[in-house]
Amino acid sequence: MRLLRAEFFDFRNIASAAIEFSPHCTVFVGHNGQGKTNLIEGLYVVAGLRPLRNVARRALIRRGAEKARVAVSVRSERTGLTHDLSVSLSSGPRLLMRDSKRVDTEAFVGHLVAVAFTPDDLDLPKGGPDARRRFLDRALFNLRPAHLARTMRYQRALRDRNRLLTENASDASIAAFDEIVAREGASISLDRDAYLVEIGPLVESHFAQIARPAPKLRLTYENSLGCPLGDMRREDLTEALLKLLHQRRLIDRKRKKTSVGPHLDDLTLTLDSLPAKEHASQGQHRAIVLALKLAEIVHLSSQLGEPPLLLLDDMSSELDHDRGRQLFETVNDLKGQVVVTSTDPAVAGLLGHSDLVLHRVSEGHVAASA
Amino acid sequence: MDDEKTGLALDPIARLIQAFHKLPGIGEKSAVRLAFHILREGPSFAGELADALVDATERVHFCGSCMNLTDRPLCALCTDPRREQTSVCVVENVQNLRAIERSQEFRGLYHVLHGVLAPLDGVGPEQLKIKELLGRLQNASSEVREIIVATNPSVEGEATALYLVRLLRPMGYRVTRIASGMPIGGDFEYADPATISQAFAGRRELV
Repeated sequence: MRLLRAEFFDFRNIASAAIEFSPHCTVFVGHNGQGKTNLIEGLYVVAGLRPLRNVARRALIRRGAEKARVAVSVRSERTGLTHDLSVSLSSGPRLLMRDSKRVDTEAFVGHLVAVAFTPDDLDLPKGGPDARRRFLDRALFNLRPAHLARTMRYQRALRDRNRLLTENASDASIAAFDEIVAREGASISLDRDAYLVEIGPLVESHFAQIARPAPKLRLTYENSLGCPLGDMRREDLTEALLKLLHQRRLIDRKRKKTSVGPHLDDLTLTLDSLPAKEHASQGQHRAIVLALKLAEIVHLSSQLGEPPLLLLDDMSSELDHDRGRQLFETVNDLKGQVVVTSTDPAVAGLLGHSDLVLHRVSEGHVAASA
Repeated sequence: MDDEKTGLALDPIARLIQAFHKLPGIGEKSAVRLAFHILREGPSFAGELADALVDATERVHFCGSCMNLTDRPLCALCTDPRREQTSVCVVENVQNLRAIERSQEFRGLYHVLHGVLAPLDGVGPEQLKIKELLGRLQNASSEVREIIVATNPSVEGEATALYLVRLLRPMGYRVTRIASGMPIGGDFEYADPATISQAFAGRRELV
C-alpha cells in the first residue's frame, strides 16, 4: 500500500493543499501551530474515520467554511490497483467516496491503513483509561474493519440504554437494550482481550530491548467480570454480562448510567507486578508507549502482509533520544511508508533517506521544498 | 423571518423548491429540477399532481387490523382469503412490508409497527403499533400461532425484536426472528465486513 497524493480542502486551518508523497519518507517542516499535525490528522481521518484527538467533527472544519474534504490516492501493492478515497465532513452525515462513487463505511475502510504516533500518545500509560481503550479499538480496527461497526453499534445501544435509565423507562424496554449491550459488549471485550494476548509477548520483548535495566512488563485486560476472560466463549460472556446488567439495573437507574461493559474496561500495565501508572519512571513510560506502538506495527504488518502507513507527529532532531526514531527505522526496515512532521528542518537530513520528499508548512499553506 | 415561516410571502418558485427540499432524499439540486419540471409542464399537470397528493392523504389511513396503509377499512392483504391466518410478520414500516411482499416468500399476515424503539429519538413502545398487535392477537377469532419479527438489523430494530420476543413468548406464541447474513447471489468480494461477520456468527450445520 502506497499513499501517492492527498488533497485538503477547508480541513482545520488548511484552506487548500495538494501534496505528493514519497513512496518512503515525506517530511512536513514548519513552526508550531502552522498546520503540520492537521495534515497528519487529515490522513488519519481517511484511514480510520476518527479524528486523531478526541474532538467534535465541527472542529475539523476550517472556521467559516461549510464543509471539509480530504481526498487521497492509494495504490495497493497486492492488487496493483489505485483507489481514490475521500471524506467530506459537514453538519450533515459524513460523505465517503471511493473512485468517484459514494460508498458506505464498509466499502471505504481498509484501503489506507495507518498507525499514528503523536506526543499525546506519551500519556497512554498514565492517562485515563479512555485513551487505552481507544488504542485497542484502533489497533483492532486496522486488523478487522468490522470492529468499527461493532463499537459503533455498542455505543449506540449504550446511549439508548442510558437514555432509558434517565427517563425512568419500563424494565421491559431496558431489558431489550440490555441484550444488545451484552452481545456487542461481549464481542468487544473478547476481541480486545484476544488482541492483547497476541501482542503481549511482542510488547514485552520490545520493552525489554528499549528499557535497560528492564523490569518485567505485563499487560492485562481488565473487564467488568473482574476475572480473566481466557478462552471464554462469546455466548457465555454475553450471558454473564446480561446477568450483571440485570443485577445492576436499580443502581444504574439511580446513576442514570450503565455501570457494566467494555466502555469501562481498561488495559492495565504492571512493571514487576507494580502498577506502571504509579511506579514507572518518565523513561519507562516512554519505553512502554514505544513498545506498544512497535508491537502494533510489527503485528499488523505480519497480519496484513504489508506495513501500515506510519504517521509520526512532531519528531525532534535529537534522534538519539527521540521516541520516533525507532518507529521510523522499524517501518523503514519493513519497506513501509512514513509521514513525519517536525519543527526542525535538520530532521530531514538526519533521516537520510534517498527519496525523501520535504514540504514546508506555514499558516496552513503547504509548499514543496527542493 | 416571519415571511419564511409562513411561506406565503415567499417568491412562489422559492416556495415550491423549499417544499420539495423538505422531502427525504431530495437535495437542493433535485428540488430545483423538480420545481422547474413542474413549471414547464404547466397547470394541468400540477393540478393532477396536487389532486393526487390531497386525495391520497385524505383517503389513505391505517388498516383496521394490520396497520398497513389502505383506503378501505381493511387492507387487501388482510381481506385476501388465500393468506395463511396462522402467522404474522411484524415489520417496521410499509416500505419493508412491500419489500417482503415482492419476494412472494411469505404467505401469512403482516403487522406494521410504524417505527422501532428508539430512546434517543423519544420513541417508546407506546408510540409503536404494539397495542394494536396485542388487541388483534387477543381477538377471539385470531388463529395466529407464529409471529415472525422482521425488523431491520439496526440496534433499534434488534432491540424492538427482543422486546417483542419477551412480550409475546410468555403468551404462548412461537416467536421467530428472520436470519441476517450474506445476501443470496451476493459475492463475498462485495459484501461488507459486518455482513460477513454476521454471516459467520449465524452459521449452521449443513444437513
